[in-house]
Amino acid sequence: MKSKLSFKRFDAELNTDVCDPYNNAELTLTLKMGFRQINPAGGAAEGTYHDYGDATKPARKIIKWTDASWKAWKTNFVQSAEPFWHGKFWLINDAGAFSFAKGGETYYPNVWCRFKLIGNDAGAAGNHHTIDVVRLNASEKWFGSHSTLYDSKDTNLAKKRTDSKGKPVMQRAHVHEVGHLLGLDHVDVGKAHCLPSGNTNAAACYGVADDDIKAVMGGGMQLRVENAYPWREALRNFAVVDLLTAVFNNPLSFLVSRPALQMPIVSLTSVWPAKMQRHYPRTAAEVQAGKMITVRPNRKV
Amino acid sequence: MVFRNRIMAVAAVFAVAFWLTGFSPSNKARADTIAARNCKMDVIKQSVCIYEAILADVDKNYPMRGGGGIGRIVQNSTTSYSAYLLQEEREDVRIYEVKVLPNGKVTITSVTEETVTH
Repeated sequence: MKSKLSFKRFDAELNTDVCDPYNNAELTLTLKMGFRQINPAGGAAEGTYHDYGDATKPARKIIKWTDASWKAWKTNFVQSAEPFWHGKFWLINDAGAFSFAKGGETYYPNVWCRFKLIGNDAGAAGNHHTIDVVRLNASEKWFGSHSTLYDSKDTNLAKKRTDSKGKPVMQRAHVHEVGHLLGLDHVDVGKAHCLPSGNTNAAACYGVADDDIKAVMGGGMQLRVENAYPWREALRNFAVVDLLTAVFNNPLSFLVSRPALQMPIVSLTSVWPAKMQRHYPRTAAEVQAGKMITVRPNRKV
Repeated sequence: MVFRNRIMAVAAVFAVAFWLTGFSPSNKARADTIAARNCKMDVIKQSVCIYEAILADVDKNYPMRGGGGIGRIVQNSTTSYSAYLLQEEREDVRIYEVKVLPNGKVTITSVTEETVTH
């Protein structure tokens, strides 16, 4: 069964048709980004544009996009950001959802988190986010970007800071920004030095300890299990919709006979713990024993 | 002649000793004196000293070594200055309280941090 939900930030598809004793359910988040060119004024080949798009900030030299450079940049953006976020997490099914029988055995698949990034032009319908993009002159090393204004070098690996040992911490800005677009905050938001009620863009929110500094939602490129948050939240929404659909379709039947849901009510409050290693579907006995299957098992199918 | 040779020998010993130890008894004092005298000399020299102290602090204590560097340093009041450091999505602001002693020496008395989000 394939179910789809649309969120403000992305679209989500939950596919249980792919489940078998070796393959998990798939939850795909699709982010449609619309890119809009920022070109030098008056059709000139060269010009300037201010950091953060703010005329009071320093101006940087920019050049006009060509069809080829525009196409290449968009392709590079998608081809480098999508693999970073795609297929990195597995949500462990402790809720008893999506059960299916095969070879006389009942299985409980986990949920594999997939990511699809679509790079459109800004005018295309259905984009979740629209981003302006300047093409920097080759002489420019840096431009002040923000969540809706990128520069052509934001896809490059660049030094963000140093760790406590003085070693450089590198990051591709666009993978960090895609994290924000998926709903992720900076790595240290929620800690005492970066309260959610304060400015969550403060330097301390990008990490104080070396491990946090190196996280993708800090100043580095390391993924963490908590970065599975957008998939986990999408999954909870599927559980809510599953429940509401069952209730509204036949309220009486729901109250009397409690029809089987694809995602049991407990799914609403389940943790769906994330792992960053493939975890195979489990049998009822394996779930009961709390066993995790990370090596391809030998199933009777 | 003998006396002259003795003087030259003593001078040579001191020269070798200074060269070996790197010790120069008047260099540091002279540097301080010159800097202090310069800072005290007029308001422009004083401003230069203050900005140099701020720049030295940013260089030593600001760990975000990427981004666009120092965007600007502005004077907020007679004793307060703000250094704006350009980063993706934000500017980090370091606000300095400075004190200029009667001898011209510049001291940073406090540094606070703020962020301007873009």
